[in-house]
Amino acid sequence: MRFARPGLPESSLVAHFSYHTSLSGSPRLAYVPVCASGAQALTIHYVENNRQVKEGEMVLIDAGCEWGGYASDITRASALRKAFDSLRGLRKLADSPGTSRRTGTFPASGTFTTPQAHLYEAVLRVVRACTKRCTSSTSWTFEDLHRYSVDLTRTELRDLGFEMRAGELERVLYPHFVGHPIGVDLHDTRSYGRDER
Amino acid sequence: MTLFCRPKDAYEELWNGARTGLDGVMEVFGADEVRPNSFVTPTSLKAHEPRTQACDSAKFGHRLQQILSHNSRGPVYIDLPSHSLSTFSRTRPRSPSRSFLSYLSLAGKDPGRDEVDEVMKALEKRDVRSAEKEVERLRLIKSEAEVKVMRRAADISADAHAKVRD
Repeated sequence: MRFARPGLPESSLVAHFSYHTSLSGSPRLAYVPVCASGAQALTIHYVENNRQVKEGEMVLIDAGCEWGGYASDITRASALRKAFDSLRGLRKLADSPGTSRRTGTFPASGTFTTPQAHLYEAVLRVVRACTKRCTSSTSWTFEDLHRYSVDLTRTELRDLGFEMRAGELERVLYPHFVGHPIGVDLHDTRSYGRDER
Repeated sequence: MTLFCRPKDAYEELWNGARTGLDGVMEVFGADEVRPNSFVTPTSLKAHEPRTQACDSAKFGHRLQQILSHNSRGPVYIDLPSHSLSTFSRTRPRSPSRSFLSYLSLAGKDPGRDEVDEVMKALEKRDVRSAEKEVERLRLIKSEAEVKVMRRAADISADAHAKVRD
């Protein structure tokens, strides 16, 4: 049964996350988590985590544990609804063989409104396409991967009716770049350049 | 190899955990010479031990010069915390700043101006590089064992995410 439900403070979702990682042997979280419900998710480093989650909202959680001396860092968003049946459409996406939770294919909690479902699926497609490109044979830099993710996202948004001018997507919605190297340090290592192979 | 490191300190260790200490460091890391780089907390010293004997930071500059003149060629690897990252090129940092020795002088006894000047002078003639960059180069590519650990960390996080949402 899902833990997250309307009326809970964001911090309790974080505590629940932390509780479960500690049971698996993680001594601490790798960083201060973000639990941003509704419009709070528009703030990239929202860490107040003191708002009550509300029925019908999307909740974004950016949290990762430290284990064996190494950091993890996962951000996911889902919808919060009292009813948690009828996920069939999205569950099919998530439970197809060969997918793993770690790479972002995960059952959603609650049912989505249509706009939420469309955006969710759009982002999921971009995540999957990018993950496929993360191999040594592809030999991409972080810049290459980011550019690819921007192009895909612009196309997905255009299909949903959002026309974004050049640079607007990154400036308004996606200033945080596609990702970062991770290891002993959360952002590992400091001197690594995004244009390096 | 000469290692400057923290000596055993009963009071500090009571609060913050055991230290290897100078003898331990010599044994574990195989240093040829080990010197303390900080004072021992007064409560740990016996009544007759003067404080200054517990710290060799002041000798660091002198020792460094000895080593530099002994090995007069080849690069010198140093990392200077006072520099911001943007001023660092990959292998060649700008000339080291005065705060370098103060930083190392954890004893709180600032090295004399002359000593700092001497060391800076000695270093300026040399090919000074960042050790941190070299280590980061190695850290960037993960070993198989590291990948296993990172997968486990990620799996734990992924499962926890799912438990919050499902």
